[in-house]
Amino acid sequence: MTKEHSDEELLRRFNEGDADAFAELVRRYERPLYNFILRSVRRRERADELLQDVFLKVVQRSSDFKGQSKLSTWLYTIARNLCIDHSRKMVFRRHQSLDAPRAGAEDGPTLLERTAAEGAEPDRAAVMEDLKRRIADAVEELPEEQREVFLMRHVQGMRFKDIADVIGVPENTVKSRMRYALERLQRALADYQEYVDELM
Amino acid sequence: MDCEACTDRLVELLYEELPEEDAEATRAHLSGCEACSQAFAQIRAGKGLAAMLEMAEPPASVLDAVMAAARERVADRAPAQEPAHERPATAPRPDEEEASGPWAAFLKWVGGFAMRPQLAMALTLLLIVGLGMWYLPTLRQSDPADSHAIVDPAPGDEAGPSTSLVPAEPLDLEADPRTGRIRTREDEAAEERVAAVRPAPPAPTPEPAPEVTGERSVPPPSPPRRTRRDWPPATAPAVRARWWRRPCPILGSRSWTSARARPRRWRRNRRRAPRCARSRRRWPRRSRPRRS
Repeated sequence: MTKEHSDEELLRRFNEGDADAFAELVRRYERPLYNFILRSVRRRERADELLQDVFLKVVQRSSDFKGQSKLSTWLYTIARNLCIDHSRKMVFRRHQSLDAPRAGAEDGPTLLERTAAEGAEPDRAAVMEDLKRRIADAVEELPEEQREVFLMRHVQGMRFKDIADVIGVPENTVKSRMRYALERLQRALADYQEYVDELM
Repeated sequence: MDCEACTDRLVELLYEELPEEDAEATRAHLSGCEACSQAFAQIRAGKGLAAMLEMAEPPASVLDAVMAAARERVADRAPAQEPAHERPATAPRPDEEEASGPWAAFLKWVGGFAMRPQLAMALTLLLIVGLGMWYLPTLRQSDPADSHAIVDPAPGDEAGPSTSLVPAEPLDLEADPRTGRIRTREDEAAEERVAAVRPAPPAPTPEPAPEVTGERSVPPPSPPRRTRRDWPPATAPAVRARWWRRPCPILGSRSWTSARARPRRWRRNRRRAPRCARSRRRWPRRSRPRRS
């Protein structure tokens, strides 16, 4: 399966009976969709189920796709609706999971304390690992409407107009949410700013 | 460019979605505005941090289940969409091998037409027309009193169809050729009895017999035709209802509103004349039937 086939072309071929075309679609979208769902629901097992549900819905309703929008828009609309349904269910049984990782260590040790405690030469790999975890936590702590815009833009690379189509809000609203999300991330990770500047 | 417009374009500038002209104008504003340049630096730093967001890998078991479902779906669709030339060649059945010769070819040709809807519709139409043509003369030769049937409307239902469509019995009436009045056979018998006592008057000239046309038998003398204006008498409620339903004088059709279709205020006051449903003309009061 060559890369030059568009998503819509692949879906049309799947509707005509080509299972390999659908495999190519899954390969293209599994990672960004999974990360979008994972950052939305914050639980790996839930994200696994929801990713499976997204693709199963595509399999069942592939003939309903008329090609009036991009396939990525359609896929993210399905994923977003599933995430919203899941979060509504979780509202009624919100409890502290015993095995879930704790998010947001606001009152924990600072970066200097954590890195200096190891010795004179900070372990860069450990710092990097910690930074990634903090970034993930900061993304998960974004407000819902900012997080979904941020993830669609960063994980999938969707244009703001397509994001507006998925969410159903004006394009300027999407841009504003994106700006607020970036500002909030920068404030949450200001401790790491110098370290990131060094890396870049 | 003012700061508000610049702030609106910062994200587009950061992600390179801004047209080149607008991007240059925004950059020019940023070079001279410290507040906007600080805001741009902040979101650029946020983008740099977000770029380090780790991408998780989905488990393979999830995707295996998805692909299994996709292959199952393709397999379900395959028999319906598979082209004929791609179907596997199968050995002919024994009965197909035995069916040979002109009779089998004829049956095969007829069988090809068996399930065609156009043929079925044409045959049904032919059957209906044939049956109609077969039975129509028989119906025409039936009791001529059918043509004199009096159709009475159902008294309780003005809008509904007539319930008395049963043909009336032939009236035992006969017109007196001299006076033109209707006389019954009983009257004739009485006259004959009187004539037997009295001396016989000269016989009246017989009227020429009505011409017999077609296959009809000699019909009895037709009774005087009852017109819509003088029958039935204008006293019964059913009669009034019939008057309400007279044809519209403008449109000529039975377009008067029925009792059910009239507005409620008309139903409350039944004395008010109804209107024609289409011409909206009210029935003239002077032409209402007068009670004798």
